[in-house]
Amino acid sequence: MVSNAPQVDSGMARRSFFGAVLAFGSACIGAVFAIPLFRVALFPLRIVEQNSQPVWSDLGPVANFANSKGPATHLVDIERRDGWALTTVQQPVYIVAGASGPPRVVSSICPHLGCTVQWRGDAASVVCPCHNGTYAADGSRVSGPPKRGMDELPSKVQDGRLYVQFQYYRQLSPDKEIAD
Amino acid sequence: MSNAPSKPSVPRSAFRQWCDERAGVDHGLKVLLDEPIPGGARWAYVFGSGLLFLFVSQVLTGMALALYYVPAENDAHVTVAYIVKVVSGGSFLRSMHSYGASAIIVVLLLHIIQTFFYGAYKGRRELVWIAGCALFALMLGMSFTGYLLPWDQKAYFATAVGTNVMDEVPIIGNTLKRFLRGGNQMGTITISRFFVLHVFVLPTLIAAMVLIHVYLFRKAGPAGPVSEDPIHPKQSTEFFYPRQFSMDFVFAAVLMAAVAGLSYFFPVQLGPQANPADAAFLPRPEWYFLPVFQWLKLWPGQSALIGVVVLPAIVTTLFVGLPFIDRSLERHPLRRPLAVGTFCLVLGGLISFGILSRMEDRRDAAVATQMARQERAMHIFMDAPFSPLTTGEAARPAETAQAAPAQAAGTGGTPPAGPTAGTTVAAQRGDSKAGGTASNAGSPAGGPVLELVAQGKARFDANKCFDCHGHNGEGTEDGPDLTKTKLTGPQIADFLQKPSSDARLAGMPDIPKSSPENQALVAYVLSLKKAQ
Repeated sequence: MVSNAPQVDSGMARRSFFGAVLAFGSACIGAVFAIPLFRVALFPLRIVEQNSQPVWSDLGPVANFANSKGPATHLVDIERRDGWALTTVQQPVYIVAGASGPPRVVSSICPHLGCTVQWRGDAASVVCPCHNGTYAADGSRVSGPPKRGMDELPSKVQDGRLYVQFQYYRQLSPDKEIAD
Repeated sequence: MSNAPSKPSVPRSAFRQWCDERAGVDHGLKVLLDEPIPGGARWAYVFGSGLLFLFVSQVLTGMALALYYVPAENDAHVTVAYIVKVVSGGSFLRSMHSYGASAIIVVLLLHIIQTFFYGAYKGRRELVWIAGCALFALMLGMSFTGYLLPWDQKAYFATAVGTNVMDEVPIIGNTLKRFLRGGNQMGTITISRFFVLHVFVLPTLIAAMVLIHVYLFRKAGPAGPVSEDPIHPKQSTEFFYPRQFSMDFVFAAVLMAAVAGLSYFFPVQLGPQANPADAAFLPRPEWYFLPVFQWLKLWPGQSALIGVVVLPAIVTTLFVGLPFIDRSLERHPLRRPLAVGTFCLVLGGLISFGILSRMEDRRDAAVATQMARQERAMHIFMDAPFSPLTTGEAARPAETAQAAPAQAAGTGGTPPAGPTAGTTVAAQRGDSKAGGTASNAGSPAGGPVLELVAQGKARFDANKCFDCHGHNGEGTEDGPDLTKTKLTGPQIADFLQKPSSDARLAGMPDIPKSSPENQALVAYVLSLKKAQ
């Protein structure tokens, strides 16, 4: 067996040059893979969801909500472009009778970590089933980990009917911010 | 300082030393790189490493494609279209995966040819050869299963033919076919099965078989040049590293450049979605299956059993059993006339059949025209903007969409409402019955219309209206642009019932106004008009 035992002096120089060529070649090949792989994997972070145009959903005659004692629930259809699909998902909203003026509509998504909150008639409060965040019947924060009260959604009354515009808001922040 | 053995003459970093003391990195590298090659490094030996490199490339690109691909009949094609048309870098990556598959076949053939002509299967190397044959078969399996997944026209029909041919196998053929398809016909279960084979089963087997193949190869040792004794090598040796390693590295870089270059300048196309109703479609397999495709034409009727089962079985047995049949230690190709002659005959035959298949298609005017049409349909589809799949509520009939909120509230699947809420929902339910689709009021063209449009699009595709009107009604030289039609709904319905003589000559069917198809098509054409 003959192995190519390198001479120490010139061998070292040759070896470091060889190492540099090898490293450069590997980096080029790696880049040809890495660039498209990362672009493909990170693509969902770069597209802005096309849910920008506001859609008003009809909740029915506003008179229905005038005299209720607790929040009423209603499902809102949300059309969304979900990757390659155009789909409709449903989100529950609570309608809270205002002391004066039209009823307010609040999202049922807990501003803490996004569980769907529940109205507890016996306790006259809204409770999050995950981490016990508690809200008053009007949606304001009472206790627990949430940093803000339930999120009020844009709503309007037109021709005696109540309309809501569903929105997603960022979790965990102390202020209500639209999630993009 | 540590008291590790001071064998290396090159100074080592503390980190490397730390790793080596725990993981034996230096020893591992030594085993990998200090492989003695009798007769020294050669360019002829690069193909095995090239295949390993391409396999890794396929795994990487395949993982990225799997981020978006959904193996189901309704989603397969639209998700591939999404990868190709919408996802940034998606078309390039899919092309890398597709060209990479072809490259594997090319390098695999070169690897086999090199091994054969060098007589490198001789001298206690039967198991190396057999493991290699298994890898060959597994790779063909990867090509076959991967080809179906985009679920476009050519994928569908090529796989329909490829699975139907199994019926020729006596006794178990039909069962095998139905097992592979997951039923008698191809559909969503077929895609799922092919996906599982392509992504889980075959790659795992290939990875395991690569380990076995390389282990057995290292156990037997490289056979060296044809002048070398394959059992007791006598020629002076050279370690794999650095010269052979560099050659392998350069070859991998060349493969990479070829695959990436083709992917960049000639991205792989996607055809329109599979349409089993398209009787005119001419399926053609991928180039490396063309010889087999042409071969099947030669065996009419009963003789097919010989052509499809018996002869391929004999050739396969001879091929796999080669090291047991050709046992002499003579390696020079010119001194092995029978083996080399047979090999060249089979290889030449395969190449000729492939070329013949292409030539036949080119000579037959009718075939050439249809192939050109298919090519055009593919370009039209590729040029059209991505159109998303409509799912969920939007695709549901009106009644179901209305029932959903009521049902959800009733079963408590959503926030269990207080007593007041219950009554409110009930009131709304009554209300929505009176007022139509209350929940869809925000989008007046919601459920039912979208549903009708989707049906119309399906009929549009099934009737191959796109042949003349283009895939999204944009028109071709054979038919007008539907997106710019001046006709009203009733006028379109009339025209569908009684097309003009020109249109009828071009192949437009009569669709009576009484049929639901007419209504659906009108809705679809009107939606095209509105979309502009």
